[in-house]
Parts: sequence; structure tokens; C-alpha cells
Amino acid sequence: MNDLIHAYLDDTVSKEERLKLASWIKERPENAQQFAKSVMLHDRLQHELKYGDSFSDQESEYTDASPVPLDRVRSLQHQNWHYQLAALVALTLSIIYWLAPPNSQENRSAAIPSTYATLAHLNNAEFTSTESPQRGQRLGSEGISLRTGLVRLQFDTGVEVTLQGPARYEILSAETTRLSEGQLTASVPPGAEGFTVETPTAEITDLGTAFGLELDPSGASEVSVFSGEVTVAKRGSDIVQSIGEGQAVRIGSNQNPTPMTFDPSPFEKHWPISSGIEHSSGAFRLIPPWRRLRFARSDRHIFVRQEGYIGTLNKPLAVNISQPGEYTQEAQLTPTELPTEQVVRSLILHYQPREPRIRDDVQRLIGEITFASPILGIITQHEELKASARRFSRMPAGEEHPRRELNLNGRPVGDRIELSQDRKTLRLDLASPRFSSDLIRVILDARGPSLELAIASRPHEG
Amino acid sequence: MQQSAKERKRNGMTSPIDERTKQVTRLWTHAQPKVSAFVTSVVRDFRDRDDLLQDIAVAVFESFDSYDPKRPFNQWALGVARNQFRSYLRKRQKDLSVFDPDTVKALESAFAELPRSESRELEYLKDCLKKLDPKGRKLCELRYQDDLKPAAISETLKLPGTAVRKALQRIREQLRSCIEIKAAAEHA
Repeated sequence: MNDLIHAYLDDTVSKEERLKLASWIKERPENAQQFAKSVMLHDRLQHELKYGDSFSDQESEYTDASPVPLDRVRSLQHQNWHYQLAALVALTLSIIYWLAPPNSQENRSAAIPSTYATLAHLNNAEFTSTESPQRGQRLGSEGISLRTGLVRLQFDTGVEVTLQGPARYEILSAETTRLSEGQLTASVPPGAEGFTVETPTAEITDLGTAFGLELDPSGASEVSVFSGEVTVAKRGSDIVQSIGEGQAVRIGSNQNPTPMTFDPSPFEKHWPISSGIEHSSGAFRLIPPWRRLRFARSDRHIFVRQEGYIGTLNKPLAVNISQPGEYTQEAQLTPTELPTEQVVRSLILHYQPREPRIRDDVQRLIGEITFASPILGIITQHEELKASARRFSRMPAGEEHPRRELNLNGRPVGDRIELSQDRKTLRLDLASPRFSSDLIRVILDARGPSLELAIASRPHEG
Repeated sequence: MQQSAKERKRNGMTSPIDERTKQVTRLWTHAQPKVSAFVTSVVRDFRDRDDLLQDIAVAVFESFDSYDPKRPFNQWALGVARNQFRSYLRKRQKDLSVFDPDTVKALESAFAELPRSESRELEYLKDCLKKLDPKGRKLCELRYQDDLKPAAISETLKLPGTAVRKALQRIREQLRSCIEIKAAAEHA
């Protein structure tokens, strides 16, 4: 209802939505009061900005700007000319900023960022342009034309976009992008809601979490919501439709969104790259970030799933393994605390057999997984797993069970874990005796060479 | 013999009309934010609100003699506003109303019952506006100063309408949060 109130304040509600709002207002006095409070702020904002002097202390920033169009000044001449002039100059500057071609951005003030994202990950990517973008390259308002393969863009706002070629994609600003061909998945963390992808037929705005978007050859847009909620609007229309988790819609040319069957399978290739994984083999199986891991069971597979979003540690994080090497006994562990301000991504490795095994023989599950960035630490023991539970994701992974830890006893029924010298590859050799189940949390360095500016405002709290 | 206004002033006295004007002005100043918001809640845009608010202010001044000082002035002024709103709709023969009469009545009661602190706390708005980033300020200016709707802002800035709508919502939520934090700090 909060969204509807705001839509009403901006006069973008349909007749049906207005009737819905009216019914809600009449339903309970508390509802009417909530609405009244919102309008009070809205009304005061208009008084303050139209007749007050808010923002007037910013005038000096704009004194050297280009002239204000005369017709705009005349239409506002009954108001405080000094403030209006400054505001209009600011407006003119803003419009110039938004509309300027990319090559003029270098001349802008240092206070205005000219890049919005980093090319964080490439997987068999080939571009149609002569100069292929490189990993770690900063991206401003520019287009990406991907012939084949996948790339992951890490926006400074925390938004992650994975493109699968062939695809044509354009960054218009930190919050607005355009897909003209191909498919993408986007993950939008708290605080970055409002991230929008335009297509030839639609505008899709993420209100938090994740969605996939695929364009068919006719330009029609198919939107699948994996978790959270997005709004979809036909291009040029003010009427928006909310699409929730597990729903999908198709928007043809000049058509309103129509429901379609939800099917995330076209996006399967995205999950490894969107989770920061280069490749994996053996027992490892990746599952999409929105799936519940806790009840996933398999006798032959170790499931891997990203937890939450990339973020900054706001208090130290205790890990059990911090150095490359092979570990078969607890005494070999290299515990440390990862410091605050470290930008990290967390993944859970999870093994849980379908049923407790009846036979006493020990099978082994072996797998190798390589990440795109170095592993800072690995959490393998119950105490640290429990202490870090829900720190990266609200969904628990089963950390409360004391037996769900690596069994590093050096015996044939024990587990073995190895971290490569370059810190990017993890080899796991798990014993699966009766009632065995294991849980490992892997903490990756998520700050690439050019990502220092990114993400800092989104802490992983303790 | 009745004294002239000049004589009363010279003698250190004020006329009954001056006293009345002062009183209604003082009361109206306090009530005006609520009345203005009430009108905003039931008409389509700020231009309609401004037209109607002028009529309401005149009506409040003209009919102040019928105000019973034992009643809350806000409640009385909102009643005047509702009557003026009806009369305005009749005169203009225009579909200015966005809600049915029962909803308008429910809103009138809601505004009458809003605590005074609600208006007082909005005094922090000015400080909170200064904390907006340049993009937030620009959007606020276009929406509230230039009275542009999201579709027009979207066209002006070449941004998707959805992004504009969502950004405006976020700005208002951010301002509300800032106001509440400042109010809480004041009372702490």
C-alpha cells in the first residue's frame, strides 16, 4: 500500500488503484492517518521548494553555468527570482549532464562520477567491437556488444548484472540501463532498489533482489522474477504492474504485460558467473541464489550457493582456514579474523544425503571449484559457522547443528580440504559415513582492482 | 462617542477588528498546513490546491464569527475547507475530486486528528532537504518547484518513468526518516 500512496502522490495511479486506495482509507482510521501523514510531507515539500529557500545555499555552485532559457524564467517570474535562477541553472546543468555524449564526460567535475560499474568477470566472452573490454575495466555511459559468452558487471551501487551473448546492452547511468538484444539477470541489493532496465518494449524496475530478462527476436521482453518484486511498464506508459517472485510476464510491442509460465532454465548459465565462480568439477553443483539450501539433499552432490550480496564487513569475521595448504586435522587449521572494511562475497558449500545411510562403509565425495577472486578465508567448524550464520543472508543454512562441520580427524572417515597457492581453487574430499552432513562457508575477496569505490555503504552486520 | 482607529492607536488601544484579525491570522497560520495537506489529498494537483486554498482562507476570515472557541480551530477550519471544496466542485463543474464523499470525510477526520507534533516535526524538512544528493535535489525541484509529473520529468531527463517514480518515492522516504531521526534526537 505504501507504493500505492506514493503513486497517488505523483498522480500515476489508475482508476482501479485509486478505488483500491479509497477503500483502504475508509477501512480503518489508522489507514486514513497514515495516508494523511504522507500527504502532509508531500504538501510541505511543495511549499518549501516552491516558496521557501531550501537549496538556496547551493547557488554558488552554479554561477558559471549556461544561460537560463527566457521562457522558463518568464513562467516563474512571480517567484523568488534569485532562487529560481539558481535552480534553473542547476536544472540546465543536470540536463546537460544526462544528455551529454560519453566522450565529454572527462571534462566534468571530479565530484560527478563518470563511471558506474566495473567489468568484474568474463567467461568465454567475445565482443563485436574491435577493442574488447578487459576484466577490471571501469564502465561509464557506454554500450557493450557481446557476441558470445558471459560477462558480469558490478555496479558501484552493489547491483550485479550478468549478460549472456549475443547481447547488446547500454549503461545510461548508475541506475538506468538498456537491453536491446539478448538476455541478462540482475541482482539488486537493499539500498539499490529502483535499478531499471529499458528494453524496446518495456521498463523493468527492480524493487530488490533478482530477476531475469530475455528479448526475443521481435524485441518482445520476457521478465522472470526469481525473488523479491519488480515493476514492469509498457514503454512510455505511466501504468506499472508489479510482478512477484515465481512470476513471469511478456511485453510485446505496444502491449501491456501478459502473464506467462515461469521458467528460469534459460538463465542457468548465469548462476556460476553471477556467483563469482570460474568453473567447478566433480561433486559440486551450483544452485541459484534464491533457492532454499537448507533442505537440499543429495547423496552424490555438494551444493554451492551464494549467500546474499557483496558487502563490507562491519566487524571482524572469524575463519578457520586463512592460508593455502592441505588440511586433514584440526591442529593444522590456520584461524584468523578477517578485518572490518573488507569487501566480501560469501558462498555456502552444503552436503546432506537424502537418508541416513544404513551401511557402515564410507563413500567419498570429491570436487574442485575455482573462483574468479581469491579466497580470504574458509569457515569449517561449528562454532565459527554458527557465529557467522545469517550474517550474509537471512536464510539459515543449518549452522545450528553441531555435526554439520568438517570432520578433520586424519582418519579414513575424516574429511580433507585444500586451498591452492593462488587462493582461487578449493579441493574438497568428503567422507560420507552414516549420518554425515557437512557445511562450509567460503569468503571471497569481492573487491577487484578497480572496485575501491564500490559497495562501501552496505555492511554485513554481525 | 466612538473613537477613530487613529485615536485608539494614539491612546494605546487597538480596534476590535484588529484584535479579531490578529486572532484569526494566528489560528489560521497554525491550521493552514493541515488544511493545505487535506486539500492536496483530495484534488489532482498543486494548482487546484492553490486556487482552492485561497477561497478557503477568505471563507475562514469571513466566517470566523461563527467559530466556537471551545472547539478545536483545526477541526472547524477543515470543515470550512470541505464546504469550500464542494462549492468549488459545483462552480467549476470540473472533475477535480479524486475520491468519493465518504473517503473525503474520512480524510477530513484523519487530518483533524493528526497530532500537532506532526506539523511541528515537518519543520526539520528544510534541514533534511539540504542533505539530499544533487540528483535528489534535481528531482525534487522538477517535481515540486516546477510541478512536473513523473512522465514529464522522465521526458525532460530522458530517464525511464519507472525510475523517476521510484526515485521520488525513495526521496520522500529518506526525508521522512531524516525528520523522524531529528525529532527523536530533539526529544531524547
